[in-house]
Amino acid sequence: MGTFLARRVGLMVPTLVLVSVMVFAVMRLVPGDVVSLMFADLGYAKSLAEMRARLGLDQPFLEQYVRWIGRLAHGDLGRSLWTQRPVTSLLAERLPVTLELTLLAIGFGVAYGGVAGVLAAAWRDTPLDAGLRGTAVAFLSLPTFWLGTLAIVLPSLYLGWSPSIQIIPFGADPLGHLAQFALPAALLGTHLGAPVMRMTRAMMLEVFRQDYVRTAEAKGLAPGRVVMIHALRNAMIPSLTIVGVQVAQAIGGSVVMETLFQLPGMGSLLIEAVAHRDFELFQSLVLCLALFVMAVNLAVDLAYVAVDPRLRSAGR
Amino acid sequence: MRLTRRHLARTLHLVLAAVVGGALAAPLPTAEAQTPKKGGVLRVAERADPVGFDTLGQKKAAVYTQLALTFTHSRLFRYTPTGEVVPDVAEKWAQPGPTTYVITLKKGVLFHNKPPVNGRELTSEDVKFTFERLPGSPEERLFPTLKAVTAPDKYTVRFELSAPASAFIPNLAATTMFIYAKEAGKVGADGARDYTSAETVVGTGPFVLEEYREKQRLVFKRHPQYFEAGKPYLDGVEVYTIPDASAQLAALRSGRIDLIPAGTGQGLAHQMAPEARSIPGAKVLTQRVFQTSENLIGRLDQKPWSDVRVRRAAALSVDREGFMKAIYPEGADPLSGPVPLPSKYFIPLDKLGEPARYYKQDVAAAKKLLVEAGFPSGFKARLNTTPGYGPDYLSRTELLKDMLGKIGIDTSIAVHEYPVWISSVYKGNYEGLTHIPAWTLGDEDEWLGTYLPGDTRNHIHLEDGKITELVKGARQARNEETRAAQIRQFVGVFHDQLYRIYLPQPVLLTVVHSRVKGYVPTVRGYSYPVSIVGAWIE
Repeated sequence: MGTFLARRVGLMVPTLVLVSVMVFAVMRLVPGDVVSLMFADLGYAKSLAEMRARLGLDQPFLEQYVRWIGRLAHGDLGRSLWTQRPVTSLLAERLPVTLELTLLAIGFGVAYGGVAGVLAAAWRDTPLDAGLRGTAVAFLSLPTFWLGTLAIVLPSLYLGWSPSIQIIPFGADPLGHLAQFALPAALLGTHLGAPVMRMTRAMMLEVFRQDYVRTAEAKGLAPGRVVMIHALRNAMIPSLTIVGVQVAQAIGGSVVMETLFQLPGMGSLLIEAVAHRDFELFQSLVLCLALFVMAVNLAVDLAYVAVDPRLRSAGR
Repeated sequence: MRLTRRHLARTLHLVLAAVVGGALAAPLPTAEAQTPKKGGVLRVAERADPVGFDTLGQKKAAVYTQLALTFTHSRLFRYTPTGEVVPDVAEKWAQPGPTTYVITLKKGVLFHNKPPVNGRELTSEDVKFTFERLPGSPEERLFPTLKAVTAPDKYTVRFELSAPASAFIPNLAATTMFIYAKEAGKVGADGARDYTSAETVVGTGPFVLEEYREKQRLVFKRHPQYFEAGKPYLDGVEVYTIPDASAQLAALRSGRIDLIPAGTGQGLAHQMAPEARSIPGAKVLTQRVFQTSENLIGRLDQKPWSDVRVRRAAALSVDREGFMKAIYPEGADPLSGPVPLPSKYFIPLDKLGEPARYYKQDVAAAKKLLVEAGFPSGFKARLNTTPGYGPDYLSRTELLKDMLGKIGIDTSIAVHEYPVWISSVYKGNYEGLTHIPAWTLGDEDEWLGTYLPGDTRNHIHLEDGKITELVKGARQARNEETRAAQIRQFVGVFHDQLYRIYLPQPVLLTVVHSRVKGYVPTVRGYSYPVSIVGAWIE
C-alpha cells in the first residue's frame, strides 16, 4: 500500500508541473493586448511599463516561470490585481465553501447513485428499476441551473421559504450550516450521481452473472449478503472511476450553485478573475483547483486498492 | 419549525386582518400612516458587492463601491431623490468670479466614531485633502479646469479654476466625490493614502459600515451623530449580495429582504414584473432615470457610416413601437439621448421638428436613402455586441439585426467577450456597427464631454467643429441661459446628424415591500441610499 501511495504521489509531481506550465502560459497566450487592458481600463498601474513590470512580463519567459514557482514554494500566491487582497486570504475564505459543497455533492451523488444502482440491478426489469433509471436519465438531462432555480422559486411560492441569503457559520449554528449546503449539494449530487447509478446498475448485472455470485447463492447465503459483500464490491471500481472524473464536473457545477444559493466559493471567484483579467489570481486558483482534483483522484485510486485486494498485491 | 410557525403566524395574521378589515372597512388615516417611525432594519438585495471602497483611486470606481459609500460618506453637494442638486455638507456657496468658487461648510458635521478618526468634526482640510487625491484618478475628468484648492479657515474651501466650468457645482454631487478623512486611509508603498479596505470606511454619511462580508453582505448602522437632525429613521440597513434575479424575488417573497432597488441603472427585468407583483405586499415602482438609452453606432471616420444618409436610413429601420411592446411591457419611451430623458435639455420628439421623422419606422424611405447614398442593394456590415450586459442585451442586438435587415443592411453579429469589448470596441476600435449599452452618468456635462475629439468615450470618432464649439460653449457658459441655449442647439444638431441612433428607453423597475415607507426611487446616478435616509419600516 505504501509503495502504491508513493508511486501515485510521485506521478502527481510531473502532472502538477505540466499544469503549472500550462496555466502560466495561458496568461501569456491570451489573444488581445491584455496588458494594455489591465493598465488602461482596469487601472492596475499608472503606466504600461509599470503594468508589465508588475506582472513580471519585462523578464524572459523562463525566468518569469521560475520566479513564480519560487514564490509558490514559499507559500506566496501573490495578490489580486482587482481587489488588491492577498490570494491566500481570498483562498482561505472561498476554498472551504467550494470544498464543502463539492464534497457534500460527491458524497450525495455516490450515496444516491450507489444505492439506486444496486436497487435497480437487484430488481431488474421491474417498475422500481424503470423508475430509478428514468429518474437518473431525468437528473442527467435537466440542467442544474434550472433545477436550482426551481428549488429556490417553488418553496418560496408555496411555503413562503427561501434558502438563507448569507453563509451561516458552522460554529454558530452547525445544523443550519449543513442545511444551507444540503439543498445545493443534493441538486448537484443528483446530477453527478446519475451516471454512477447507471454504471453501478450495469456492473452489478454483469457481476450477478459471474460464477462466484452463483456459487454464493447456491451455498445458501442471504440475498442481501450476496449483493452487498460479493457483488457490490466487485462492481464498484468502474463507478469509482466515474466519481474521480466527475470531481472536475462538480467544481464546474458548483459555480452555478454558488451563484444561485449565495455561497461565495472558488467557482464564482474564478469567474470574476477571468472577467477582470486578474491573472495573478487566476493562475493561483487554477493551480489550487488542479491540486484538489488530483487529490480526489488520488483518494479514488486509494479506494480502488481498498475495494480490490488484487490491486494491493499488484502495487507491491 | 421556526419557519413553519412564522408561516402559520403570517397566515393567521392575514386571516385576522381580512376578518377585522372586512368588519371595520376603515383604512388608517393617511397622515398617520405616513408619519415616519424610528427604528427597524431595511434589508436590500444587490447583484454584486463593492470592489474596494475608494472612488478616487487609480481605477474607475465600481458602481457598487459608489452605492456603498453613498451610505457612509458625504459630498459637498448631493442629488435629491428627484434629481435636484442640493448642499450636503456645504452650508452655502458663492462665486466671486467666473473661475472662483467659495464653499462654506456646515458646522458640527461629525465623522463616524471609529478609529483613527474617532468622531472628530469635518473641516475644510478634509475637503482639500480629498481634492488633492484627484490627479491621476479617473474622476479628474469631472474638473478639467480645476487649478487650486485652498482652505483659508476651518469651514471655508476655495476653488480656483483655469477657465469657467458651468457644471462645477453639479459635478461636486457626483457619487464619486465623497469626502475622505486623511487619517482613515492606509499609507501605501508610494506614501499615498489608500481606501480600498473596509476598515478605511469612515465618513460623515448617515450610516456607519459595521460589517462587510465579501460576496455576502454589508451591514450599516445608523450614524447617531448624523448632521441632519432626526435622520435616518432606520436603525440600520443590510445589503445582501444576491446575483440572481429569481433568488432576489424568492428572498422578497419569503420575507428575507424588503427592497430590490434599481440603483445600478438596471432594475428588475420587465418580464419578471408580473412575478414580483404576485408577491403579497410587494409593489413595483417605475422610474425614468438620468440614463441615455442603448444605441446603434458606427465609426464616423469610415464609410459608409460617415454618410448621414446611411445613418438616417438605419434610424428609419427601427420599429420603436414594436420594440417597446415586445421588450419593455412595463413601459418605455421612444428614445433617451443625446442628453437623458429627464433632463431639462431633452427635446421630446413632438418638439424636435424635421429630425423627428427619422424616429418613425419607414422602410421605403430608408431604402430610398440607401439608393441615394450609393447602396441600391444595401450593404453588409458587422454588428458588434457583447454578452457582458446579460442575455437580454444579446436578444436586443438580434432584434436590431432583424430591423436593419429589412432595409438591406445585412449584418453579421460579432459577439465579443466583455474584457475584449472593453479594451477594443468600447475604445472605438471596431469595424462596422456596434450596439452600445445605456449610460448612467451624473450631470449633462458628462455626456457632453464624450463628444469631444480625443475623449476615451468618443466611440464614434466624432470630430464635428460645430459640436465641439457647442460643447465647449456649454461647459464654459457663465449663466444658465447661455448653457441651456448651447446644449439645446447641440441636441438639435445631434438629432439632425444622427451621430448615434438611440433606441427605446425602458422605465426602470424597483420592487419594494409595503412595510417600507417613504422610499422613492432616485432618478440620478447611483444614489438610491439618499432615498433610504428618508425611509422607515412600518
